[in-house]
Amino acid sequence: MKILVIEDESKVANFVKKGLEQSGFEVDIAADGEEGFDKFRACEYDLVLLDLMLPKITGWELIPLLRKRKPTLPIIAVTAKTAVEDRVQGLNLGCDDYLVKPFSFSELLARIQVQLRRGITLGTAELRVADLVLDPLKRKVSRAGKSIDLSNKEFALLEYLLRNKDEIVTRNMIVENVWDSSFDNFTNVVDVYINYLRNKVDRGYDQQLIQTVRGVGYALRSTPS
Amino acid sequence: MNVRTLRFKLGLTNGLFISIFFVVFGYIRYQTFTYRADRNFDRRLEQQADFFSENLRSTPEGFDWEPSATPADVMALDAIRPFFVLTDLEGRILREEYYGYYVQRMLDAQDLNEILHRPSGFTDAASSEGRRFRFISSTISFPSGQKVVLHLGRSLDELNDMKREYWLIWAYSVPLVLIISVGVGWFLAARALRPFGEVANIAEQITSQKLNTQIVNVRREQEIQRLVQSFNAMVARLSRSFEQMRTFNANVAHELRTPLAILQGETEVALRSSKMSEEIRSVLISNLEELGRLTRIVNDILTLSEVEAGSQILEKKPVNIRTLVADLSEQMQLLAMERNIRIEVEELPDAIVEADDLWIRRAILNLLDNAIKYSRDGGRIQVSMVRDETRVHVSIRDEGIGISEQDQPHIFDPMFRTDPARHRDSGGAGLGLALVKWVIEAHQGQIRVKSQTNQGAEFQLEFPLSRSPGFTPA
Repeated sequence: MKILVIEDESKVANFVKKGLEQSGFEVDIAADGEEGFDKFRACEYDLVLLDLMLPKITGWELIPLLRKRKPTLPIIAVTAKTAVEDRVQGLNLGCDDYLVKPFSFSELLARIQVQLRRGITLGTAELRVADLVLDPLKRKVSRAGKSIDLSNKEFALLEYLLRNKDEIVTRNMIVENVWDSSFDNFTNVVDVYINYLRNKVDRGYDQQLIQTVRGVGYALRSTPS
Repeated sequence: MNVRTLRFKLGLTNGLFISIFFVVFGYIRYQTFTYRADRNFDRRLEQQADFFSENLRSTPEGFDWEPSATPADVMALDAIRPFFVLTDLEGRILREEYYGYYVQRMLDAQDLNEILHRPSGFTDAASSEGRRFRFISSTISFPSGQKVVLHLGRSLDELNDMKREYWLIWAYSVPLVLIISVGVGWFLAARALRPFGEVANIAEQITSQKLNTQIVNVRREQEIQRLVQSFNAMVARLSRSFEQMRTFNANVAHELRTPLAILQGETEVALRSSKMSEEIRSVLISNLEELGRLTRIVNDILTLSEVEAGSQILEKKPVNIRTLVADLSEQMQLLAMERNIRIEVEELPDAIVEADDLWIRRAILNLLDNAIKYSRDGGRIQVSMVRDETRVHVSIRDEGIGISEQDQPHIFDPMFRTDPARHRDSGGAGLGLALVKWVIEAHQGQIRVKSQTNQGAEFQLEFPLSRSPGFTPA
């Protein structure tokens, strides 16, 4: 997997490159929008990570250019701005996800992985991991054939975990996707819901499917990490 | 009536000044009046005496004091209504008419004696009944060489009555003038001070968020114009320094983000590799936690400076506060249960408010979060909602540690923490309630707190209901 990082702060670009390389990605760095666009044209990338405030060609200008050439390319934008309109503008311009500086690297990594797997688990087909089965249409969950009763939020949370199974999802990602919100207060709520879910899904089974990734978030997987 | 108002002072001073002026002026007028009246009286007496003398002298054969006087004599005597007595130089009475007789009868004997022996000049006399008279004596020389003295007197009653009347009018009008002038002063003061009230009313509406407000000068009075101008200039200066402060805050927070991002990212990436001692690892993990806290503070400062600068735009649409409060209470119940805290939600009425869903959620969530944070384990939080014709009232009450009275006015200030040592672990920079207040006020709402130390705290919110017609609550 090859990722293009367009970031004018060299130290940010460096730790992102280092971290992503440790995680097995191939990373190219561009220091401004122009260089970024040149590299993008010269090479095939699986994902572009770009800062919105770039010299020469800004991220806002760059996103439509990239989109035009590769409509399905996952683009993640990074910015130091938080104002809501920026966020809306960023998503309208066609980036797939959005991170605000300062961000946690684990958060970035988790989002990149989700973007790269995007599309695979969408749809209404049954979702499963090990002996846990979730039917999005009938809204039914069962483990080892035993049906499990879940509240709406618990169901939405489990569905989100299942759609991203084997991936680490951060609390922020869960809050944004399950609660449709972006406030810190909710990250505590996530922990509580995860506990509920664990009680209903994992209790009494040898295999613990919902796993905590310390300092990052959670993952639903059939094998221990 | 507040005696410490400018209006009171102006009204009273005005009244007092007018009254003192009136008293002094009235006294001077009275003195002038009496002086002139006395002088007029004397002059008139003199004129009458002269007239009488002329008439007497016009009889060339000398004055005939026999009763068979000439018609000219009679006319001359008749022309004088005052009392008169004619004497020789030694004061022996030569002639007295009816009036003269009357004068003799009624005047005090000593006074009469004094008059009769006076060849010229004025004499005051009193009757036995106490009536006052004034006499003029003048010697008339006839061509024949005969000399008689005329004593002509008039009653002072009329003059004294006039003086008394004048005095009474003046005396009675003093309190009246006092009342009227204080009243007029009170009214004029109010009129003159009204523009100040108007200026004050506008000034009261100016908050740090609305510093661009300028007072529109509707008055043409120069003094008020000057006040308004200097006020506006002051507000403009304030606005500039607030603006500078906000920009500074925003810039500092903004500038901190990149170094923070680098610190956090590099630390995290370093931690992912296993090539380090446990000691360094634990230091890095601790650093990472502190960086997280720093990040939250920077984010909060930035958000607050953004909302204060007005760059946060609310997207308002009809929102049912009931579902919002119910949802959030249910979600937070889970957090609360970890510490055995119950969130009791009363039956809530539907209440549609024009609101930005995200921000309102954030505000109410913040309050619920605080209620849990400051509750004791096993405590209770009550959430209730009341709706009236135009507004909805939301109340969130906990039974926790409460807020001391001295802290209450400050809890909505940014960066205010009730007890620095106590809540350091709970994160944030104390911006929570400042943001909540901003959100509520941005929805034309109000937030109040009722609390006592160790008696819990109640936060009361109030929003105007949406007036969009035909909207049926979901």
